[in-house]
Amino acid sequence: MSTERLDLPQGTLDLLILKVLSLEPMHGWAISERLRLVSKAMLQIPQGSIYPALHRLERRGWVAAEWGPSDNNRNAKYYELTKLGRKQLSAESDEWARLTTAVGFVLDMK
Amino acid sequence: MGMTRRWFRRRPSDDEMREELEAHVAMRAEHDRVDEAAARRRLGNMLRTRESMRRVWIAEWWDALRQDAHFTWRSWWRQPGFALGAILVLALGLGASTALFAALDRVLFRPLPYPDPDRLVSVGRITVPLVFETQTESLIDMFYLQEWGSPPPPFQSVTAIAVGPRCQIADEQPQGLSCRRVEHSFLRVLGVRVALGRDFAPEDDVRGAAEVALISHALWVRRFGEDTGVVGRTLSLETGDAIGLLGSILHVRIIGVLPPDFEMPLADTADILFPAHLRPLDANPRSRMGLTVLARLRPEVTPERAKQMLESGWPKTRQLPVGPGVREEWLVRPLHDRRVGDATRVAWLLVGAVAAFLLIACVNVTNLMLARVGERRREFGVRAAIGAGRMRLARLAVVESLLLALAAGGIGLLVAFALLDTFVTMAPPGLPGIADASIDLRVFVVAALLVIVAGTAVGVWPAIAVFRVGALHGLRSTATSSRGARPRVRFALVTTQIALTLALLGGSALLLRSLWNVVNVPLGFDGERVVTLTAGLSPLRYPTIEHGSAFFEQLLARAQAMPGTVSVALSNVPPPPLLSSVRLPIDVEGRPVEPNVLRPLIRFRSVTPHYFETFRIQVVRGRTFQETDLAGEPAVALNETAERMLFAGERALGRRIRFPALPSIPGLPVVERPWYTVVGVTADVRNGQALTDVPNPEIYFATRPGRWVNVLPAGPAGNLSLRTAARPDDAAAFLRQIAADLDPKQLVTIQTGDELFTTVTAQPRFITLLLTAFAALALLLAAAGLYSVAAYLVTQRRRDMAVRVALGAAPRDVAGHVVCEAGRWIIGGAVVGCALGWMGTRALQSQLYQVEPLDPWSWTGALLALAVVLVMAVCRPAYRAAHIDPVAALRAE
Repeated sequence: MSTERLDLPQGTLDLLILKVLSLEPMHGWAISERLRLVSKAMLQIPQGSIYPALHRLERRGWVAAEWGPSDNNRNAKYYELTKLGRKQLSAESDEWARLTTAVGFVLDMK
Repeated sequence: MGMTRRWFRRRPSDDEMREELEAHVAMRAEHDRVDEAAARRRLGNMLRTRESMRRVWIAEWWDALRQDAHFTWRSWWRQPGFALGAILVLALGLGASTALFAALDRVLFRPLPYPDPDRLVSVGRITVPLVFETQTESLIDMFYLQEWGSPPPPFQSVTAIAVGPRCQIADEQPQGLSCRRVEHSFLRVLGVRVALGRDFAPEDDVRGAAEVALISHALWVRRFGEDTGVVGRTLSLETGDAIGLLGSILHVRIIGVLPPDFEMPLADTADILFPAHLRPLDANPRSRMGLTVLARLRPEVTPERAKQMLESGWPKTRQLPVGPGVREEWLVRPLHDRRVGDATRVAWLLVGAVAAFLLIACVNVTNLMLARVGERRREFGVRAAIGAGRMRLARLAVVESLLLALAAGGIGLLVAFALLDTFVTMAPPGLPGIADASIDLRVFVVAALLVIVAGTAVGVWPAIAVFRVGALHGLRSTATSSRGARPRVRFALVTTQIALTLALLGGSALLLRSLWNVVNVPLGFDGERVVTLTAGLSPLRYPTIEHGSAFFEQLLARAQAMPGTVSVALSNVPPPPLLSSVRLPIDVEGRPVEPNVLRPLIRFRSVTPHYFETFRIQVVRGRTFQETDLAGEPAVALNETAERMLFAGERALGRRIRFPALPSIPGLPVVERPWYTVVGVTADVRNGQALTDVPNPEIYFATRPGRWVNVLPAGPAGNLSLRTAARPDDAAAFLRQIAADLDPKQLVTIQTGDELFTTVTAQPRFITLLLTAFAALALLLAAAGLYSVAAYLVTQRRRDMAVRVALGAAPRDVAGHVVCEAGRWIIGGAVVGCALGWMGTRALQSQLYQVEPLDPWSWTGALLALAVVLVMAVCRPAYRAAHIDPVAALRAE
């Protein structure tokens, strides 16, 4: 396993955020923390880039946002997957799977 | 989650975004156990992050809009016919609405040009029922001055406008100015300040005070070249006094100039204002006059409440002797209502017509757009399949319709400019303020609102239709399949359009018939080859009645000698069809006068012999006037209505009548008037305000100009009417020359009979023309709408039809199928249209003359016109259906 961190391909951040949010509603910091943990710190995700992405998803109606108290009683903006977002997630996951499979086939070509 | 909310999702505020990032920093600091600055560094450039968050909201919206606009433009470019057609139709509707709004704004919507205009009211007494048709509220000066020294409780302030003299600046080329006498409080009650100099002061407004004047801004510019030194200058005016027969020279000192945008409360014009000099009350009751009284209500007092308060404070204020069955009451109404009067009804009628027209235009364009959605099902289907969201496609339809409306609005504004010009030139008198109508900011804002509303209205159905196409993923049902959704909405739209069109057509047919009746109303006189001259003589050069009559006698002699003259006569008031404004009660010999009973007022004209010949007024009984009538026993002729009214079924010939003794006020020496013998009875002549009024009673006195009983509030005035064998225009030119030879400084008005007639029929012409134009255009649009739907029907069912033809159906049956389908919707539209028309034409009733709102001829005609045009519209699609080539059609599948 390489210790070098990976840059995220264009457009994948949205998919990752949707996936993380499919578990439970979360605020921005928790999302970034979770992404870092789950990817075993392999993915290079600038913390700041989470927010424009979250707003883009909100703008498209894939996530809904609400302000609420955090664990240590701070006011935080919680994001939640909408029905539309769930659909989008499954569509994009399928696509991602197909894409990686296809790319894998080509690369495995003997 | 609402689909529509997605497009217009609320954008989080900047504060919210900052707070969200601050929360992140705080949590990061706590978690990593570092200070806030370090946590901040770990987040990255906070400013830039916030900027890109903001851009998500703005850019996406804007980008999408730009893309949609670009796409729309490209699709228009590919089908310019559709875009041009839709834009033109909508532009016509928007243009007509905007122009009409601009024209009628002052009548219907714009508040009066005074501060706090809702509190300005017109106050007066009125007889109920009205004794004469044109009566408006007024107060007699005697009552006003004695009882209302200070404003009555409901009012903050009161002011009065007196009858104004005719006037002109002495020693100038004649140009009629209008002068008004007002109380000194006039401008203050209205809330207007002078532009230059000072307002009237109470001491200016006392009988016998030195005459001072305020001049209008227009006069200041025209006559004094905006010279600020005009204040204090003395102006010599030729005027007639309020009720006198003769005029005088008045030297007035100008004390101020009115502001440029000043308007008189009753929308009349005033070049010069004088104080009314009502106080102290004139001892001579013969000079009693009616005042127009305006008041400013106290806050919180409504006109209705004010009326109640006046009724309890002054219940028995008698102004006029009142007859049996007639009572007097107070009338307090908003100044706006009095100023606009009956014009509102006409105005709302036109607004209704133009609204219907705009609706038709919108429906038509919606229909065109739906047709395009139908044509582009495949395209939309493909787009939906490759991932363009349905929402995105529907939004495209909305953007397209808004762009359409925007383009149409631009062109519509040009249309409105052109139309408004036409309206203003054509508009009948009596629509106040129409001459000043222009497309200003206010009108522009309304036009912009109309564009937005029309754009949205036009886009809604297509957006829904596109959405549905997306839902079906349109590929499964191909364009030529017969299983495509029935174009129910489009049919409903066509039906709506047909219904509205029929209502407009019916209305305009009624108005056309009514106009026909008006134009062909038996007038009782023939003005075709008649030329008239009207002159109000300058009191300076014609100081006595003798001077004035000499002018008219000479004019008469010269006109008689003019080549082509058939007959000539003089009269004291303008000839028919214009209103004879002079009316008095009449005494009949041998019939006692009941005191304190209001007798009918009878119009009269003083005329010289040949008057009846000049206007070809038929003498029914007795004889026409002769030259000897002027010198011998005083002679009079009545029309049949006057005979009926005065003699109640008896014959009038040989009986004697006279004006009542003057004055009818007790305590003054009585002046008896001479008796006149009735020598003839004439047919009735249309002599009212409108041709459609019933004939009024009228009396003709055979009198020389020197003995005219002239009650016009001005110097000697008179009219000459001439029947010519030559062309009326030539005769008019000749007459003008004769008048100029007699007195080059005298202002005369010369009109031919045709011109006189046109002024009277101006209003019905105007309304009829507008409504007919709307109806004709609406019919055209309805035909276009039906054509497009029928054509769509044929395209959609092409395969069915081809199969039927292949199985041996006659082409006639296939075509018949299309015609039947269209016919069903025509009939549906016609039924709804009749119902609409039935409701709508009640509003029309007051404009109709001798036509019932449910006139069968008009409605049959409208239905027929509609049916013919619509059947023609269906012809081509039906023809195409009949000539489907089954092989080609089926192969295309």
